[in-house]
Amino acid sequence: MRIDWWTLALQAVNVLILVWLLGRFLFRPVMDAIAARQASAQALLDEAREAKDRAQAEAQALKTQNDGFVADAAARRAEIRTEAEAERQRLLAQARLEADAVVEQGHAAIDAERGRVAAQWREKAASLAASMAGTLLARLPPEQTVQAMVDALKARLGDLSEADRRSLAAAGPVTVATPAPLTADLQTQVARALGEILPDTATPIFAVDPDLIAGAELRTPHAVVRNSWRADLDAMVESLNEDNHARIA
Amino acid sequence: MKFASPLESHVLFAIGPVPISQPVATTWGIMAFLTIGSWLLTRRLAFRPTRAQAALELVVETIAGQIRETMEAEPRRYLPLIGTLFLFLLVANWSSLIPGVEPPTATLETDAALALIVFGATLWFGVRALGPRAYLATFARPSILLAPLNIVELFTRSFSLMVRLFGNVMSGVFMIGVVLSLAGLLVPIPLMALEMLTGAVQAYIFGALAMVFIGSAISENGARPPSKQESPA
Repeated sequence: MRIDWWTLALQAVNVLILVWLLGRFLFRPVMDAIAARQASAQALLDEAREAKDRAQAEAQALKTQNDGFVADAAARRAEIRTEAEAERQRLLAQARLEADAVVEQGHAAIDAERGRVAAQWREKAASLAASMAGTLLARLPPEQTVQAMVDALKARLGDLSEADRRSLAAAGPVTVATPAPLTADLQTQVARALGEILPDTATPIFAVDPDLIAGAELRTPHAVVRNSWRADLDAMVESLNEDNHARIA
Repeated sequence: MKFASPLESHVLFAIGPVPISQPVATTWGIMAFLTIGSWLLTRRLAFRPTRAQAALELVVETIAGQIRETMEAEPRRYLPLIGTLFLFLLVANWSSLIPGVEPPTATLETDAALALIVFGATLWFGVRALGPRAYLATFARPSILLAPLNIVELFTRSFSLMVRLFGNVMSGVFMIGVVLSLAGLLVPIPLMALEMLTGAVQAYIFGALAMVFIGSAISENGARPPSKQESPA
């Protein structure tokens, strides 16, 4: 066995040269290409990660904004609910007041209508009473009723003060109204009685007014002395109406 | 029939005082093949790889991955040496399939040169990684009493590299030559296929052991790398 040292040395040098050559033409270019691709992939991954981070940040911001919107909407809803409740209470109070006013007006209208109807009935009752009284009086002799009324008129005039009688006599021509025409005797009797009570007056004028029912009235241009059933009935109706108004009030 | 001794190299020609033997010439051819092939494959590397580029990247990345796993270091510094050893041994071992070509690894000088390179690389990378003092301190681990044994191991394991590779490849070539001379043309084909497998395995083992030796040198733990143990073949 013999070692060829030249061959050994040449082979060692050859392999070392081959190490350099393959490192230069094979391993370094391939590793550089792999590293470049890995760097590119890493850059893409980094970019994707950054995009993901940005998207997450934007999503978080949007979520925060959305939460703000939700909270704002809830606050606005509560505010609107409060305002609506206050408005509802105000409207209810106003409606209640208006309803009370309407009810009050209704009650007033009902009372007024009831008063009006009662007045109408009273008037009708008065008319009926007058009619009934007239019918009843018609069964009496007119001289008696007229005489009674004339007496009552004379008493009424006698109740007046002297000043009132004097002003009544000075007011002008006196008209004596009766529900039925007086006979000549009665007219003379009435004129004599008036001459006694009102000495300064002229001869009276006699007029017929069936509405008086019974009694007589003394009429001057400025004053009237009523002494008839009509006047009494009117006074009674007036008194009833006043009582009714006082009761309603 | 007389066989040439596998322990002797045949000088083809001489350049001045330097005799050029057949293994050297074959090695030049392999160097030319590998260099030109690499240049052709890598001259147009693209971002989107072709099939050839993808296969090339697969081979390189596999070797780099082996370095990363075995040596637990970044492979870029060690890739040219380990990758060249593996590719050269693979092509050299398979060159026996070409009629008339005797693989250079079947000669003792080539295997000795390769083992010598691994030996030198172990020292170089160890000193470079740890510094001279720290690297020398690794021989005293786990005990100073084991320092002589560790120093002897440094030489013997390189020697074992040489002998292992030489014995496997030379025996295969010698066996194929014997069978071919006895049985004719087609009979050695199974043995040649076996020789391909043996050549690939020996290339892998040589590269793996080189990684283990260098990895143990650059590791502060000393003689043994953390991940892989030396595997005999």
